[in-house]
Amino acid sequence: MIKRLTNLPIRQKFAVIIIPLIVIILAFDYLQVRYHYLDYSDSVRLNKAIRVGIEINHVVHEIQKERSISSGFLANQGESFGVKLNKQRESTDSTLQQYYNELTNGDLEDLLELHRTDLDQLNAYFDKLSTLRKNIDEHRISSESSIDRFSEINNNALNTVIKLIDETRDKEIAQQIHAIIYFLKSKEFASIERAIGTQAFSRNHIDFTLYNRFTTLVANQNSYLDAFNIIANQESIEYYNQIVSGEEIEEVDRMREVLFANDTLSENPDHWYESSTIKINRLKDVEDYMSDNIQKRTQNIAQTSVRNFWTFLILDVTIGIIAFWLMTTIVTNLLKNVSILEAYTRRISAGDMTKKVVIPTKDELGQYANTFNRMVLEIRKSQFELRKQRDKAKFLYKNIYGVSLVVFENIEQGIFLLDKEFKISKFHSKAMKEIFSNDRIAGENFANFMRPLILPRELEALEMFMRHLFNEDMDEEVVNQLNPIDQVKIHTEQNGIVATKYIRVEFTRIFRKEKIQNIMVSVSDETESILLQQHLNEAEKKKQQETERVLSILKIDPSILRGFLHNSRKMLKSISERYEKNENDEYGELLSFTFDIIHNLKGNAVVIGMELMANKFHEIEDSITALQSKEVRGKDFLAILYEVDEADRMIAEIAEMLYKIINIYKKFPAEGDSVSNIMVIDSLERGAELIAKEEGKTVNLTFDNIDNVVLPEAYIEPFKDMMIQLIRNSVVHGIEAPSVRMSEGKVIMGELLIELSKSDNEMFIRYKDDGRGLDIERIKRQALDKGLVTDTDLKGMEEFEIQSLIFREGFSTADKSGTNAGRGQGMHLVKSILDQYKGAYDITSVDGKSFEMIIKLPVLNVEKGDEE
Amino acid sequence: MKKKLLIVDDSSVMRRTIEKNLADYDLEIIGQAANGVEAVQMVMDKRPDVVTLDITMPEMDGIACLEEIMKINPETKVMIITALADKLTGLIALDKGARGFMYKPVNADDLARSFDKLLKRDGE
Repeated sequence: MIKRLTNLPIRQKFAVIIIPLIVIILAFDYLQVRYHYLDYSDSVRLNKAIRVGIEINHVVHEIQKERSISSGFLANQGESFGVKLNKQRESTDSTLQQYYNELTNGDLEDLLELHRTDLDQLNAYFDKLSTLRKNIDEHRISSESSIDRFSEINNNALNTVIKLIDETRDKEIAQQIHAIIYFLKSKEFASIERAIGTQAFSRNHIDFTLYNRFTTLVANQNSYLDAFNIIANQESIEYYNQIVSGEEIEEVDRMREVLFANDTLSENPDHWYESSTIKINRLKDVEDYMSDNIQKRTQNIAQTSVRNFWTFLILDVTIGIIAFWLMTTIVTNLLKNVSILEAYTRRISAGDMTKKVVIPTKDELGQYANTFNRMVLEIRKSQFELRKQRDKAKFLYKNIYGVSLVVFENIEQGIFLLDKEFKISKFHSKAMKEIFSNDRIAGENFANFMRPLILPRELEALEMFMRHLFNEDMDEEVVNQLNPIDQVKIHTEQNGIVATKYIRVEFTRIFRKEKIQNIMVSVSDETESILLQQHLNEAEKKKQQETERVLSILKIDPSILRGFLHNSRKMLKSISERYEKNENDEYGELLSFTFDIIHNLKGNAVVIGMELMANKFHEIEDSITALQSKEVRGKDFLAILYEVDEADRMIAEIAEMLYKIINIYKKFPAEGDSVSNIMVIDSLERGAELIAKEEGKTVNLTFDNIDNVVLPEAYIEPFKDMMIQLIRNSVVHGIEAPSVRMSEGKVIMGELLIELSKSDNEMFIRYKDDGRGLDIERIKRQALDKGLVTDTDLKGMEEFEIQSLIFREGFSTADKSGTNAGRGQGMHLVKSILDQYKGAYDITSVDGKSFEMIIKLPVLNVEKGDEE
Repeated sequence: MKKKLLIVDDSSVMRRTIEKNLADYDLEIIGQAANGVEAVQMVMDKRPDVVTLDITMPEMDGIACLEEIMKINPETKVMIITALADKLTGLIALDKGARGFMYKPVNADDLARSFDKLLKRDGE
């Protein structure tokens, strides 16, 4: 109930308070007004009643007189009072007429209405007067009866008066009315006393009955008078005492004593009547005085009441109007202020704080409004602050965050933050997507993210590494040295295409409040640079290979190399020739032919130390082996042919290179002799070893004194060419097969010696082997076979001359034609070089033991000068 | 009070290099060990504050040695100095309680910087 009341809107709350108040005030006012109105109407009514009562009392007074006169008239049988009676009857009728007139007065309607029955009854009694008078005139009624009849009328009249006036709210008036009533009763008894006295004096005696009646009358009269004296106000009593006194009153008392004391009466009844009438008139005066007083009083009361009524009415209405005005003014003002505040708060809540709330009153609402304005001012200040902050934030966003985002959009590096759970931050640079070909980046655990991209061992290390990165106790630099994905190869997949990338991932701690908050990770795609590096490395390697190739060429005896290259090209060419002739598509046979050649070439390459070509031939061998297991078709063989062609090209390149190198040496025949010597020695050693291997022999080439004698640049090539021919000759012809050497008690390894020495103008080259020596008979035979000499020639030749035949062009003692000997080139080359350089030679051959050749070359003048 | 340093490396050249480079430091070199077993014995006997530790060593490798050192005194500051390129092993060393890490060959500047950090951390 109370909750419902407190929840009511203010308007209704006011109504709850004000409406009962107004009702109470109105009720109170109504009671007040009604009270005064009742007083007024009561007074007015009483006043009217007293007016009617006075008229009735006038009638009663006249009837009282008529009763006495009638009594006297009947008592002496009409002898006296005849004239008086008629006069009195006129007087009675006159007052009666006045009474009736009064009743017709319009303003008495309500009173007449109220007392209709009583007044009708009274009027009926008054109507009886004429019948009574008629009986009196005809003496058909006794004096006593007439008194009773008259008294009956009077009694009724008095009762009517009592009924009329005995209704008032005023105590004082009620008391005085009762006083009047007692007085009227007493007066009536006094009047009856006058009548009986008149009767008795008229008869000149008083009998016992009459006497008793008379005493009762006096007693009743006195008892009412006593009652009057008790309740009447002082004023009335004083007036009574003043009026009802004097000689006339005393005379009545004296005559009353006469009546009490004597049976026989001699007094004049007129005198009694006159005296009694004076007394009764005096009583009438008192009665009128009292009636008048009451009437004045009631009038007064009525006037007061009316005044009070109007005063209260006006006052009430005024107070009511003022109260209503005040209430409505205050309530309206309050409600207006409340609604102003309400509207204002609504505006505030809608965010409009541009205006102040204005409440003109200085009450709590006014103060509240002021407080509110201050509050709003504070809010506006804070808003202003906030706006400033927001603008600042906007500025920061635009200038820093915005820039960051732009950077993140455009930077080629992958950048993101890791949290303590190794999760990738929401914001990361756009490059991440491109680097990893992955959209799902934000929020992923970085280890999980990398799992499919790197090796398990790297992943394990990465997890450990990230843990240490977040460990405050670990130095960042120390940890970063152990970054396992500092540079890592990843395999990304996009649209089913797998790409290999090299990425560099760097980690930096981000601190906030001196705690590691995040790790900033930057990822850069270094694929291009690494591929470039690899490319460079390959190029470097290739260059190195080329150098090696050059070096390997340099290591090999040029004549051997030339022979190898020439032979290789010829053999490779034979493959393509065979292929072209292959009409029956017998690829199997062609393949085995090719294999034999390649295998042979590979062997040669290995022998001369041409690793590059050995490897290449090995590759071709592998390809052929792969084909041999299945049926070979033309296109399969074409692949082999392609490889063969490649090998041919390589050989051509080497040949070209060789040509260039030779040209370079020819162009720049200069210093660095010792280096040249070493190269020459190396080349010769290798050559000897290779030739021996090919021949199924082993040899040991020893150089003597070669460090001390430096070959001039010009002699390097000729020296090498000559030596290699001599070595070949020794290995092929001089050095015996190991089995032979073993049976002859020689060491299996053949000994070859080259010794250099120098005099002032000659250079000596001593070449020696421990082979079987020159076979003179075989030389002769060979020379004859080749048609170099005739029998006759031979007979005239010395041993040295026969030995020198080996230097002749077209001489070759080898039975078979191989790479190392047998093409009739070898020794002739030595002789032609010697001729070219104006050298000389000497040969010492010990049969079965050794072959020795000493070459003399002139020291070149230019060289000499250079050396010094 | 001077901090006590133990140098553990199977190469005497390396040990001498470290010793020479740390000469300016307020450190008392209490010993040098050529393998893990020796090192553990020395740690037990002499209680060094700082240990430089190689990983690849005969008898007992650096990781096993580190574990033993940590068992003896977990407060020991161990600086791994290794030629081993494998980063996982390095991280395992950090896991086991190593406080510093350097790659061989060491130069004076790097060593100085690493020791500055190692000892400064200690002072904090």
